[in-house]
Amino acid sequence: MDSKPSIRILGFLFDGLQATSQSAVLVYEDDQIYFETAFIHDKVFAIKDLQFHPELIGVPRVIESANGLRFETQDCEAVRRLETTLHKTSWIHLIESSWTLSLTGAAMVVGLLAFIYFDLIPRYSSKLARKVPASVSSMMSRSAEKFLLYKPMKKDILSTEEWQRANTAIEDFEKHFHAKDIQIDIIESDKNDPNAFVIPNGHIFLNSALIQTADNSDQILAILLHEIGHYHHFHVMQSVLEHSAISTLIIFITGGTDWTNVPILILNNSYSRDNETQADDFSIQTMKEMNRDPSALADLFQKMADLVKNESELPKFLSTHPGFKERIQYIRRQSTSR
Amino acid sequence: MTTPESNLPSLEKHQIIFHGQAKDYFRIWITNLLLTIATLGIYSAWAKVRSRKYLYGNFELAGSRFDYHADPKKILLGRVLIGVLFAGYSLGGKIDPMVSVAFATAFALITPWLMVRALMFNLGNTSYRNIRFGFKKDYNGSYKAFFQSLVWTIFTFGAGFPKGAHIQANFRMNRIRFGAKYFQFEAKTKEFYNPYFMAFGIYVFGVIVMIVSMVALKGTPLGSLKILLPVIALYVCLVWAGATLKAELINLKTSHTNLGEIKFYSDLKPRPLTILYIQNILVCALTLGLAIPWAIIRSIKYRAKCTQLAMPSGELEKITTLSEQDAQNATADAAADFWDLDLGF
Repeated sequence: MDSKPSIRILGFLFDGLQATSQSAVLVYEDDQIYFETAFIHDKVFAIKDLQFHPELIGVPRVIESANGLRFETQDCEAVRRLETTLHKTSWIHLIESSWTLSLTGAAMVVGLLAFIYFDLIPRYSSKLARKVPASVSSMMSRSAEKFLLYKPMKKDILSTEEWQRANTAIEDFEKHFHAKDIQIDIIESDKNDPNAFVIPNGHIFLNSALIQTADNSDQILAILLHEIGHYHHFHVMQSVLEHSAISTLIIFITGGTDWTNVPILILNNSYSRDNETQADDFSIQTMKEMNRDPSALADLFQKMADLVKNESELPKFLSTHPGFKERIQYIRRQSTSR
Repeated sequence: MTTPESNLPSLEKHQIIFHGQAKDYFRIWITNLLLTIATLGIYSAWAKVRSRKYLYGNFELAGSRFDYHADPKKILLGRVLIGVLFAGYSLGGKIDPMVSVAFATAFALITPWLMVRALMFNLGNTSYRNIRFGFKKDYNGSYKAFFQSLVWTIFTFGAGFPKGAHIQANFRMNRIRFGAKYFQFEAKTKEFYNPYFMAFGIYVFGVIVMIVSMVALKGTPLGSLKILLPVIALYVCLVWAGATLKAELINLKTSHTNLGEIKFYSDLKPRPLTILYIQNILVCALTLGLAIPWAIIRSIKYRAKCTQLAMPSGELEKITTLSEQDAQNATADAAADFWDLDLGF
């Protein structure tokens, strides 16, 4: 009958009562383990009463007994032989100790993260966003509406012609969607800051500067369609879900350091830019269906770009919107295609 | 680094040595990440234990290494709990801002309790020479320190924040023990003001540099660099301020802490720490995060290099573990087992 080889491992024993160590030899012989040391004589330990701490590259190996004794050794090779004899090998350590497997793992991680970021998160956020009850969107919009409509806008902010342009666009919009229940409001703003946005319940806000910047009702209509495009694609809720997913992912990768805000912001901005392009597409498509000139949106963006031409543009990766130049070129291209 | 003269028998000096290598830690880190993603986050608790065992196991003091013993299942439970609370806070806040306020208030109210539990868990699972560290269970003290520091900060419009930091440091450091012996921390409040003043000064300098550079670059044909360069300048100053604060606070707390006759010294310098952080950020950004293990190892190596202990010969060996009765008293709590959780990342 083959007998298992005996194994002797030199190390240090800590009794757990005092912060002292004793030089010791762990002996494995005839399926038994005991320590040779000054204060433990021939005490045999059952294999099941010994805990082998996981092997980690470069860290001394530790074997602990159930009664609190700790044996530490730099002879990792000997402990590995003992573990093999006792059928206690670790597959995780096999991966960690092999550069080939580790680098393959690194490539898989990069691939997985790319797949999660570019496909999984946007796809499932979009699907989940559609399943969120309408009552949740209403609740989310309540405080925004209270804040934005707190002060009624003065009628004389816009000229008669500007009011007419806005009303024509709103009427055309409501006629096309057969919807009188989509709320559209114009709010007061600084002249040089044209803007429009939609809140989760579909309520659209145009500011007075946008109406003053537009040359005709088609440009205002194009912006209304862009905003309703966000609502149609559930972008607000989708952004909430994407932001949560990205934050969780970054925290898992980095362990939650102080600098996680920057990568979270940059990664979320990319999703935001994609949403803006999708809303532009919605506007272009719907303008075509309404037999209007879809490049009206590009004309309005050109006017807005001229307003900010003397100010710096944010670098693309820090911006939630694609740059004006890029958007105008894209819209004009899409407007002329079928 | 010089240590003060002593009239006691000559003190032995011990340098903290960190043996960890970026090439080794990278392999552990990447395996952890792969398994965490593959298990939708469940493995993250085991990953944390492996990471800590590697890092602690590579710290050497007087010929012996440290160790980390936490049960990954308890870490996972803690993460699920914190995850649920955080999801409630952030998603609930999108529905109604008052939900965020309610969650933030509730969280603030349980923070002192959470802090004690987390310190008990992490210190209780850390050992050196098979003797565990520990943290004295003192919820009343934690709430007192928390609210005192809050009052000092709010009613002085922030000027009393260093005083609050002193109160918190005092509370924590004097309740940490190694074996049966408690650490002693003695620092004056005024010593806490200097690090914060320095950091604040650097921050203000950064804001001024950003504004001045934005004005100077206006009208130049630099496109988006007109915003990017001033923002980068501010960011660098924020890193510098953060590094200065960290270095000065660690030096302050370390140098005013002793464990009986064992004295601790720290000599972190803001400038090398700032350069280290900036290099780490740049390399991590350029490698899309793959250099995070390298950055962690460098940071730890630098901190270890700056930390020393001085003690009479044989002082460390005199430290004993808690008696069985004291150990029971230290952790006995009706909810101890359930709340014996790690509540952070």
